[in-house]
Amino acid sequence: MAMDNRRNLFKKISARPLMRKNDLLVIGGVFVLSFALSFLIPQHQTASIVIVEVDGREAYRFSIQKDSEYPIRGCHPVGGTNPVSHTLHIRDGQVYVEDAQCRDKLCEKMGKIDHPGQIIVCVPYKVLIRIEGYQVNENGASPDAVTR
Amino acid sequence: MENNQKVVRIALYVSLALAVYLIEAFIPVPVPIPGFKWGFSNFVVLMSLMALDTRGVLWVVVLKVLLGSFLTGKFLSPVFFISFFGNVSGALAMIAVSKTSCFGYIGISVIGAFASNLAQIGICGVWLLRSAYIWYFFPYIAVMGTVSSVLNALVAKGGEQWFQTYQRT
Repeated sequence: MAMDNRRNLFKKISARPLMRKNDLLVIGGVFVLSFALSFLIPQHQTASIVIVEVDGREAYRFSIQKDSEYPIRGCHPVGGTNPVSHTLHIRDGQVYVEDAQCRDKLCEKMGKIDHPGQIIVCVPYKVLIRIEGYQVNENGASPDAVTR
Repeated sequence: MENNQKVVRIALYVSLALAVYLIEAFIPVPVPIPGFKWGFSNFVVLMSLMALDTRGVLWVVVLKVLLGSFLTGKFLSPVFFISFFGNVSGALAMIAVSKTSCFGYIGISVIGAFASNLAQIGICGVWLLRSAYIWYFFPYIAVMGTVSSVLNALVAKGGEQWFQTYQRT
């Protein structure tokens, strides 16, 4: 009795092939969509401002030209007052995070960002750091052309 | 399928998924995205999809995420919610797609991974971080998810053939 059940079960299993033609369409669709989405990120802009969002609201705004360190107060995971959760470093046009108070420290591992559109994220403290830029003029003269 | 057989099968799949889930943590990830994992334990979900009914598959997925979060100490942390909603939506998408015969293992697996990535980024953007800028990660995650889900499909098909020969002898 049990044997019969098993046979039926496996007959059903082996009916489906590893791959059908539609599968290629699905894979192609995912690649095309990802490729198209990656073009939405502005690429021909010069990095100028570092914006820190806490819980979806803009909380800090720094110039990327000024090398400095800033304490960031994230959203406390449990509630109550907002402690200093990270130190934001800006150095030579690169932005990175140190002294993360969470356990995983994934935001530190995300390394340095320097292009508009790139982000650093800390999920436990609801902190999102992004770089915003502006379009470079056609004659190439942008206010920070010298620093670059 | 008899009920006992079904319970044993669910337990088997869950334990297999947990073992893979824990080993997976040692495999390096090429992109610096917080919480991104290869998701190799999903080949077990794919296998259970072929052998169990809808409820059985959902049991496997929910137990996998719950016990996995207990073992890694992430229960009720943000990572847990991301992986819970990701896994469940991936499973639902795969269940829906597997009702038709349009797709093979690879197609089902890729659709499942895509749905789960969509849910993961969605839950981050809408609830955990409340910022649309998190979608910056989506192209990377979608491509990586596709690669790992094709591998998952190969492993699931191979594993099933192995189960088949193993049970007949």
